[in-house]
Amino acid sequence: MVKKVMKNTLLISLVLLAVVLASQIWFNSYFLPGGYDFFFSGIQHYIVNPIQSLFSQNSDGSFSQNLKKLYRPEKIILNDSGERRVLTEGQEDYDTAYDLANAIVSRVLSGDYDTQSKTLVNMDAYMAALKGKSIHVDYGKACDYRLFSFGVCGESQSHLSGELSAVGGYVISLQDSIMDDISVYMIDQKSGNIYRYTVESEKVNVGNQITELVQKISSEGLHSYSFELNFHKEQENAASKILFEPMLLMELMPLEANELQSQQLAEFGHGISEDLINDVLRTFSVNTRSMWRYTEMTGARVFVENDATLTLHPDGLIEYQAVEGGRGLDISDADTPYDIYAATDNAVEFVTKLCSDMPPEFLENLRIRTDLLDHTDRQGVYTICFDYCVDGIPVRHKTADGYAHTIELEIDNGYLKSYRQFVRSYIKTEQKTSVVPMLSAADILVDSLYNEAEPLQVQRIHLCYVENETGKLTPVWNAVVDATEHFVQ
Amino acid sequence: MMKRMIRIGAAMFALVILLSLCFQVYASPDVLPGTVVSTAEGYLNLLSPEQLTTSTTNKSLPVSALAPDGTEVTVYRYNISTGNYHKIVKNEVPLEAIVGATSLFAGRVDLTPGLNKFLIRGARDENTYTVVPFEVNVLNEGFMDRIKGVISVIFG
Repeated sequence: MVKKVMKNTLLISLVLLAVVLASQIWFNSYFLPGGYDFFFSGIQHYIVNPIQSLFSQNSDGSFSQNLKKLYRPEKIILNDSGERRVLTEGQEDYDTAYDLANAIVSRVLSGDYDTQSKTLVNMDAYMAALKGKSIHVDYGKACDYRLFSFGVCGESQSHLSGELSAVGGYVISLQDSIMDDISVYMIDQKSGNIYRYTVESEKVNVGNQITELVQKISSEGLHSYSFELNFHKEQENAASKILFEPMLLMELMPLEANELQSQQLAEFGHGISEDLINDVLRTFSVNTRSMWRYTEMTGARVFVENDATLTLHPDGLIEYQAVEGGRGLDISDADTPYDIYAATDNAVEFVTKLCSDMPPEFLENLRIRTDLLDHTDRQGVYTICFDYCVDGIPVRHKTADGYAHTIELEIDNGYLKSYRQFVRSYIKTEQKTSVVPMLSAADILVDSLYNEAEPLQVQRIHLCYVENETGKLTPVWNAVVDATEHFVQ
Repeated sequence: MMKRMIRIGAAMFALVILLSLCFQVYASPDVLPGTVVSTAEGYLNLLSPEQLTTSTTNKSLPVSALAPDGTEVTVYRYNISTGNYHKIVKNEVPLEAIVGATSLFAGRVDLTPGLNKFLIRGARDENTYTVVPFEVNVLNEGFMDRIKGVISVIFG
């Protein structure tokens, strides 16, 4: 009798143990990744979402539209009789000024305007145009002409394609003639040639619009181009310690800017949401059936498949890395020789697709920050960086290796070799912080870098926010000196 | 006891006054006579404008200079009624700065129609300074347009 009871007890214990262990395997292991969410997210992604997308107005849009959003001018400088106004994104009249300039240059590019003349001019003429009544649209980076044209007027080829291969902006000048003509100046960044296209246009109307904008915009700050101050050339009677690129716009007054507070996305708040994980896995074409996955001690979720590792860190960092010698993810469908145009197309499409699964403000604030140029050092290999921008000021992320961009992706002939993205949003706080004038930042650079041999060459200098461990962001100067980046507080 | 406290207080006050004299900061004068000349050379090189007499149609002009580290650079405008140069002050901020490691000074002056006379002064101390006067003639835009019209008619 006692023996029977013991047998029954043992049997019941074994059955219970089997049920517990089986449920552990079914719902918490690789057998059913994501537990019950597997069923619901599967239904959501493969049935509900495709049906919803048929009726949704919020589609990804074409490459031209996406490029227009991601590739915008860093600064628009209006000049009316020496009164200068500098507009950056986030300012009230930025879009008005951009639309005004874009309407003119897109008609020049597309050949809608009757071109009176096309002249090769020297740098003095270009500088003179900047001093007179003009709109200077500065993208802050050089760009392949096909991409520039595609972003401006939706056509990659135009009648200017023959002479221009890379541009970084343009100047619309109203002072060259007393006739009803407008001149558009463009520098070809590769050859250094400067072209002036004189077109018949409504000069008086455009002039009035510039004057109205200049009168309307309050005159905060004090700006001069480096060439106006002669900070770009060495002096005969005194040694220069530092020289600035002639077109660099110098901010001469102390600035004030809002501090930012970093916010983690809700999807990363209490462990990374399964929905976001599935979206990211789908974009990176990770097969959830065949992948190998594990969770690190830090809470980072790691997915390994096809000679690549995808890691989702709990602090909002997404990293993808193909193994050494591996091809990586194929994100291209181009058969033609791979160039910067195809790479940018692929990068923009990939980033847009991935970020469309995130809160909309993330994609709205993303901007391309690197030069978009073909190069010869590694054929078909391109690194394209995007930054989250607040009022036109980019956010950089302090890491052990330096200051990272919000998104950095490396493409090798259509294959994604590496991808890194900080998924965070930022809110402006009421707290304002003062920023030293640009020349004071240059003083600090000279103190730390000048070695009395050659003058320092400053190629670029602009404000940026730097994110540190506290999550509070204050603006600092980001300077490119002798081709190396420096951050000055 | 009270007397002693008063004595110590008076001594401290006198010490503070004496120390403040030692740390008195040199500031450039608000007004300079129209005939002012340099007392030393090498404390200022005017970079912009490049010429001491220039013409423009603009309403403002960039001014820049190269000066040794630590030099105080100040920009003055000539006042015809007083016959003196007066320190330029905009929004209660004088157009002056102590030059840092770059040795560069930069600013921008507003222009009025007609002749504008300025003076830029680089000073090591109140007795050691270099001054450079310069003048800018502001032309009417209509006048410049007429000149451009004549040129375009002649040269096609």
